[in-house]
Amino acid sequence: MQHLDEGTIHAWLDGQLPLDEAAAAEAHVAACRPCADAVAEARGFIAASSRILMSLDDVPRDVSPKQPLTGAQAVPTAADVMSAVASATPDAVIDLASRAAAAPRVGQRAPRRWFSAPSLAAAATIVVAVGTFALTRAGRQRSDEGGGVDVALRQAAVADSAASTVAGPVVSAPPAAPPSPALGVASAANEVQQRAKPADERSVGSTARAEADQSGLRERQPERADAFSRKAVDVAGAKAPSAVAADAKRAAKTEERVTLADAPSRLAKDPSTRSFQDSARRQVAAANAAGVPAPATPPPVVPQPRPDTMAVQVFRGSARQSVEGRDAASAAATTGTIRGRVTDGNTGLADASVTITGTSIGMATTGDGQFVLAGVQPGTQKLTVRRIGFEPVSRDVVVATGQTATADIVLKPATTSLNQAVVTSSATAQRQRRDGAAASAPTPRPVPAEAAPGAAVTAAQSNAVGCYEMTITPTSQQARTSFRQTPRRLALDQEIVPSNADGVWYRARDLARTGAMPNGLWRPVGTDGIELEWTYGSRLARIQLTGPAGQVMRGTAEELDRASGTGEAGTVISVRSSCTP
Amino acid sequence: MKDEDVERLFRTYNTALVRYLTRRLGDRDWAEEVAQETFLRALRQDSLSSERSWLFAVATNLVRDEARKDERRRRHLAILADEERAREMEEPEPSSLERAQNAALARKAVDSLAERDRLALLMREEGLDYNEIADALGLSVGSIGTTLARARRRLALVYEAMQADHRRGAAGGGEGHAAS
Repeated sequence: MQHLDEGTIHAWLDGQLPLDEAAAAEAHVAACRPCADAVAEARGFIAASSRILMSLDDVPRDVSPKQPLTGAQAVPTAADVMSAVASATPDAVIDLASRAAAAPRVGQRAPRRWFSAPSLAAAATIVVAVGTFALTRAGRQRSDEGGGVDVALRQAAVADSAASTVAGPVVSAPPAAPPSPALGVASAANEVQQRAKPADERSVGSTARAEADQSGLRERQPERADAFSRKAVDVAGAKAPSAVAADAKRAAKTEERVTLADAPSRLAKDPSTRSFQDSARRQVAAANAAGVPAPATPPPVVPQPRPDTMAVQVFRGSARQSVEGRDAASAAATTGTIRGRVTDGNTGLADASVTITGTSIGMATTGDGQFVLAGVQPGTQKLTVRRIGFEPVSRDVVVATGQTATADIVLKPATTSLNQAVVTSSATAQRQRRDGAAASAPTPRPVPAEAAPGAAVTAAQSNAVGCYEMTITPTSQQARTSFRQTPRRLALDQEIVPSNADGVWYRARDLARTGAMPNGLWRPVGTDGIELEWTYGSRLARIQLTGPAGQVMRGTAEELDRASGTGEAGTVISVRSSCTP
Repeated sequence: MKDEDVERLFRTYNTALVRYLTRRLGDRDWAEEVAQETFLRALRQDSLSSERSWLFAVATNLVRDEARKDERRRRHLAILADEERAREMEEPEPSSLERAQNAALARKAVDSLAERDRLALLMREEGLDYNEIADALGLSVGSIGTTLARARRRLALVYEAMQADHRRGAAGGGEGHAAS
């Protein structure tokens, strides 16, 4: 018999060959080594294509290049929301989340919020501080350029500026008492802010005050202002080496001048400034408690040639950076990294989910089992690793600011039996044949088994946004897409489109952060149950669950391939109702 | 078609159609506009024999007509935006960076496919069977397997190659970081 051509192989794997041809193909593949290899390769291409296309689903709403913080708002992306979930206070999360929920509506604008004069004044002060500091950084950067600025130098500059923004004011303020670890978080932060004030004002200089006076914004809210400004300066400083010079040029070209009264309101309007403020406080407190490493010299203050106008122009660039670059900068300044490899004792395990309990930080391991988690809060963190067919492992890892901790994890094959409900829809003849044929393909995955039901969802992540968290554990070996090869935990959030009176379209947030964002229909059933329906790829899954809030609810899901109408057995669903809707 | 028929169509296919269009266009707002227009056109039909392939075919044609003028421009902007995003996040948490980069690479890889291959693949991903794809694109059923095979192979290989390039590029930066 003639070998199968590639098109026939794909048609066969897609379940699209007529029955007789499919049977012939199967028989041939079973007897023909080169064809079996071709089939394996085709499977790889099919899975890879699905995965690649899935990563396109992260497309944000507006694809046109960003405007430099114009009056319209910067719509928070899903990533923003998730990082906020990781680091911000609950009310900030809700604020962000509600904005995000509103954002997808076409043409809808986030509500304008106006702030009182004092907060504007406070923000105005920051603006000048940021501008001045950015110039300082830019000047310093220019002087470095003579020697050729390589990446290492930039990184060093980033680290240096990050340290100096916290430590600098403490060192240069005249009567600086030694930092006391015994102080409470809030009071420690306050103390540093108080001490920082003189330094801030000095570095801002008389120009800054003149600017503030001109705008008629003389009042200050010292605490807010300082918390903001330190964070803003921090961020601007961290970004400065690579970005500020360019931004300054861009800003200088811009015809439209931002007035001091106008610009800060935009800054203040952004809900992220709230989480900003909080993380700035935490950061200062953490640095203080740890005993701030004092730099040998305070950051140099470069005299400004024409500071009054320059400061305002530079603001545009640096403030934008301060908003957009906050994740990067805070990650660099206050967090650590965990790096490691997940193995079965010998070889690396791909697609294992590695998460940090209590955060939304996590990723799936790469092909050889490697993982890197950045932006981890310092301290002892609980790292949890899961993979189908293996016992989940949790380990405490000590993370230090700016350091990389190493954690190599060895997983043991699972021994617990599957005691969750399993999809029981019957497979069709076609499906069965496909499975049978797959047995001839090389390297089948380990036989999937599932950990105890509680274990799959006990490491509950933030539920601030959604009320339900769902774990999908596909047990099929013949997973067609990568989505089906890794267990998923999804939080349901973000209203999209109301569809009818008792149902709302929801988008599920993928807690494993591997990119799949299936859409689903959520509907309350009775007083303590929900019905979920969601789609991904060509699949449609449906489940009805009942149970009190806070409990893990398990049930059988009916899953259909919409293309072939065939069901796929083996997918386990558990849903945790994490609050009362 | 009656309103309730279109409502049912909308409930059944809107998600898939919008995702298909979003992947095709790289812009969700635009995708939703086109999807809405498609359902509006369905309203004007008496009946549809093969509703799914009809919807996807009409949506595809709408994109083709509308997009002819400014699609190239928009796609370019989309790539720029992706790159910009990827660049702005120099050292953020791995997942969001990875996602932005992956999306940018995926967008480029998808754009490297021939239009027919791309559409066939995107439709298949939304669950259309070979007959429906053939209907929607005006191809013979027998050629769909070959079309998909070509599309998937190329997509995977182009993506892989770009990712390898990207890693090489990133490796230099990583060393610099380690040295600091």
